[in-house]
Order: sequence, then C-alpha cells, then structure tokens
Amino acid sequence: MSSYVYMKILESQPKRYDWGIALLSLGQSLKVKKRIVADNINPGSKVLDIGCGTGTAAILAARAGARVTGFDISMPMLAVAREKIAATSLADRIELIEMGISGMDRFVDASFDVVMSMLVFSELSSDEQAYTLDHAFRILRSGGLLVITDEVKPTTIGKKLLYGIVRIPLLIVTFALTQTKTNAVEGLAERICQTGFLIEREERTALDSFLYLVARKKEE
Amino acid sequence: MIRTLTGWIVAYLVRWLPHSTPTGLFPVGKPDANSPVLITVNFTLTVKRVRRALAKKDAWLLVAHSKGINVWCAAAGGIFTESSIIDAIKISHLSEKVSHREVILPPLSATGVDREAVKQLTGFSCQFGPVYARDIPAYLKAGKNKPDGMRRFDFGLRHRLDMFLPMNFPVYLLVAVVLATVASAQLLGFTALFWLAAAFLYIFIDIIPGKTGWGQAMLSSLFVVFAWVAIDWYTRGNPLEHWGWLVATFFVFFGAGFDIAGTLSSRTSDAERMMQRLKFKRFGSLFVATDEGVVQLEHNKCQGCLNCLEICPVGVFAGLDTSKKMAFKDQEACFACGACVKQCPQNALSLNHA
Repeated sequence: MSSYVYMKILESQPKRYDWGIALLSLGQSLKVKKRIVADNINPGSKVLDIGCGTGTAAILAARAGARVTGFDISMPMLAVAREKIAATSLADRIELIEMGISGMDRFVDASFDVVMSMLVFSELSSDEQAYTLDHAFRILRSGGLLVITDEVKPTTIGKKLLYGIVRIPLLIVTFALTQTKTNAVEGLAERICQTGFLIEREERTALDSFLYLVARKKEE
Repeated sequence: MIRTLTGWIVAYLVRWLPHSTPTGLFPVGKPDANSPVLITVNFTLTVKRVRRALAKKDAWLLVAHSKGINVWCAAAGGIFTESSIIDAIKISHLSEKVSHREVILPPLSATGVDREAVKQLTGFSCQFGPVYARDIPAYLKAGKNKPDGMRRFDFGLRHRLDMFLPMNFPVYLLVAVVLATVASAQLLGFTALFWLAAAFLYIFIDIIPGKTGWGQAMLSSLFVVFAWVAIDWYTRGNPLEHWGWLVATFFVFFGAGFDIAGTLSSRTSDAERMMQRLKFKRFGSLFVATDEGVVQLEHNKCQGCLNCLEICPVGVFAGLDTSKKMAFKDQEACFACGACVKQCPQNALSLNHA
C-alpha cells in the first residue's frame, strides 16, 4: 500500500500541529489566543471549546479562571492536549471529550457563557457549519458569547495578491515540515447572523486574511 | 461529473492530494423511506465513482467528511472514523428520511470505523458493502450478499492502469520542469524514456522477477541498458554511444518504480522496509518506521463471528475450523492494514509478531 506513506503523514501530524500553526501564523497564533481569552473570558465562565485540538486555548481559558469543556473529533489531537494539560495544575478545570460536532446535542440548553472555536469552521462543510451554529445558539445562555477565529480570504485585489505572495510559499514550507495547513472560510458572518446572533466585533488581521469575530446571543 | 478543473487534475493527474466535495445526504434516483443508504467519503473522485455505480438505482448517498481524502487512506489515518459517520447520520437527519436502521459502509473503511459506536449513538447498524463501488448494484440485487471477489482489493491490471497517470505524473512533472529550464533539448527523450519505463513496470510487475519493487525496477533497467548497449555496439560499433541516457535509464526506472511494491501489489512499501533495515525510527516527518508484522490470532478469544473473514481485502482468513475458531488461509499475505484487528469484537487479533 503506497498510501502507507500518506497515512503515516496523517498519523504523525498532531504532535507537530502547534509548531506548524505557529510557523504558519508567523508566531501570531499564541498571541491571538491569549488576546481572545483576555477579551472574552472571565473567572468562573463556563466555556465550550469546539474542536479544541491540542488544547492550547482551553488551557489559557482555564488559567484565566474558566471551567472549560473541549471536544475534538481527532483522538491523536486530544492525546496531545491531555499531555499538555497533565503538565499544568488545571486538570480539574478542563474536560475533554472525543466526538464530532454532532455530539453537541448532549449539552443542556443555555448552559455555557462562552462558546469558542478556533480554526475549526474552515474545516467544516456548510451543512456542518449550520448545525454547529444552531447548537452553539441553543447551548449559550442569553447574552452569552460566540467567539470564532478563522482564516478568511482577503477582500481587495491588492491584498489578495500580497496574500498570495506571502501565503503560498509559507503554506508549502509549513506543509512540508509539519503537514499542517489551514483553509479559508467563506460567508461565516452571514451564517452567524442568520442563526440569530448579534455580531459585536469583526476584525480582520494579518493581511486581511484572518478573522476574529465575537457575536452575542440576544438578551431575553 | 467532476465540475472543477482542480478536481479533475487531482483525480486523474496528481492523486496524491486531497480534494473535497460537499458532504451530506443526497438522493440518487427516486429513493423512499425503504431505500438503501450508502455511505462514502467526500473525495471528489470517490463520490464520482459511487454516483456512477448507482446511476440506475434509487438510493440515498450519505457523503461523510474525510477532508477530501479517499476511504482507505482517511480510515487508516484516523480521519474517516465512527465519529465522521455519526456526524453525517445525525447532521443529515437520516433517521427522519428512512424507516429502516441500516447503512452500508465501504469495507476499506474497516480499519478506522468502530461500528458498535455508530450503532449506540445513532441506532443505525453498519454493513460492509463491496470494496468497489461498481459492484454495488450486484451486491444490492443479491440481497446484500457478496461473493469473495467483492471483498478483495484487486491489484490487477485495472487498478494499475488506474494508478498509472496519477502516481507517475507528479514525478514526471517535477523532473520535466527542471529539464525544460536547464536542458530543454533532452525533454523529449526524457518524456519518452520515463513513460515507457513506467508503462513497462506497471504492466509487467507481476512477471518481472524480484521480491521487492526496487529489485524489479533495477532488473528492468539493467535489461534495457544491456539491450541498448548491445544495439549500439552492433549498429554503431560503440557500445557506450548513449552513455548519458544509460545512466538516465537507471534513475528513470527508480523514479517510476520508487513505490511500485506498495502501490501495485499487496507488499510493503520498499521505502518503509529500507527505513526499518537501516534502523531509522523516523525520517523527517515523512516516515515513521513501524514493524507491524502480520496478523496474529489468539485462538481462545475467538468466538467465530466471521468479521475478519468478511473484511480482509487480501483473503488472509479461511473460515472456521472444526473447533469453530477462525483459521488462516494465507497468513503471510497480510500486509498489516489493521482492518480485522479493528473489527474483531473479542480483541483476538493483533499485528504484533508472534
């Protein structure tokens, strides 16, 4: 099986994921996560991390005093997260679940203060995105926050060009070294509004290619 | 059916890359609540072939999310798993569309899918269909029974021709681009040599002597080099007239034959074996050496459920012996895909050396 080589690539990826993302974001990844936690998470918050991956954001949120539930479909990613959490004293503040997004139906209505999701929506197909937003809306308390960061496509031709020039070589180098890549998500803000959220913040950074979005579930 | 140019290029020229189609539940023909549900992954070429196979059927096609990777690779790489299937079933509200509770999975997914978990969380039981989508109509017609042929992965000429262009084109392109810039006069000669060498290996791999793919490639190149030398000697009096091309021949056969053992037969990849022999644990991030051996059975644990017999793609298992335990037909044929190990409810199978 030649695909064997390919499979090995896939299997060995999680351990280098953090490194790959750091490289791909030119070191911005951790900074962004820290800022998101500082902006949106208060001590005592109940936080759901959709697609928590290697647990970086979950650990930061727990350190800020939140109680975090994180889930991810990838068992190898969660194994890395568990290792990282074990190295902190936050084990009792973070719960990890191995499941896909359809497992969100297990969470009780209005049971979270913050639902966050970083570089996940771009991995989901459109039916999956809609499902995830519906459930995020359902499980957030009224006034709760949906915090999403993801890669997006630049809007102007000049930025698109600049983005291509910087991005493509970076993507190739990163993929060669770590088999990590990210995709761009499209039309996310519209979907979020359609679900019933009010968008409070929509920032684009890094050559217009990275979206940081905060939306609030309307107070009743 | 493949609507984008990149989709077409990935499917037929550079099948090393993933390419995604939309996921979700799609009606094929005019399915009703009793129609069969077939699950596949969202690799463009895979979806195209399953749809073509179902052209005259009424069925539900449930496309699960595998990030655009084919069934076998995604299942073995931990990307197409029970979680992907559970997501696909729940998000598509399949239980409201059909009255039965059964889905048909591609058997090459067996290496990654825990069917019991799907049943527990969705209520749907999973049957493994035929390996090839083209056999689905016959499989459905026969009341979901399948002869041995539908259980086997066929490394025959059809598979080899299917892989010929998408496996070799990236290698060819890489060299051709370099040649075109530094030695464009040699481009035509290289093109002819490369594709003839690749065609020779892909067509005759079953009869070229040699245990490993590299051995077969080397032998083939020696054969060509000697023939070339003999012809030059006889016709021109100088056996080494084309010495540069003779050297190139070795490299071309090695390039086209780099992983023929792994791609075209149920043998382990030569590169992988070499890694093990050199005691490399890993090579950058591309290889991680594993020594998985062939499948082993703990007889006392076996309950005779026949799962392993059903999903083995190379026919390692024979059926139950007189003590109602699984027996091997050809244990050495195992190439450690892990499907039987994953599907054994008693954990009686393993890939460790005895």
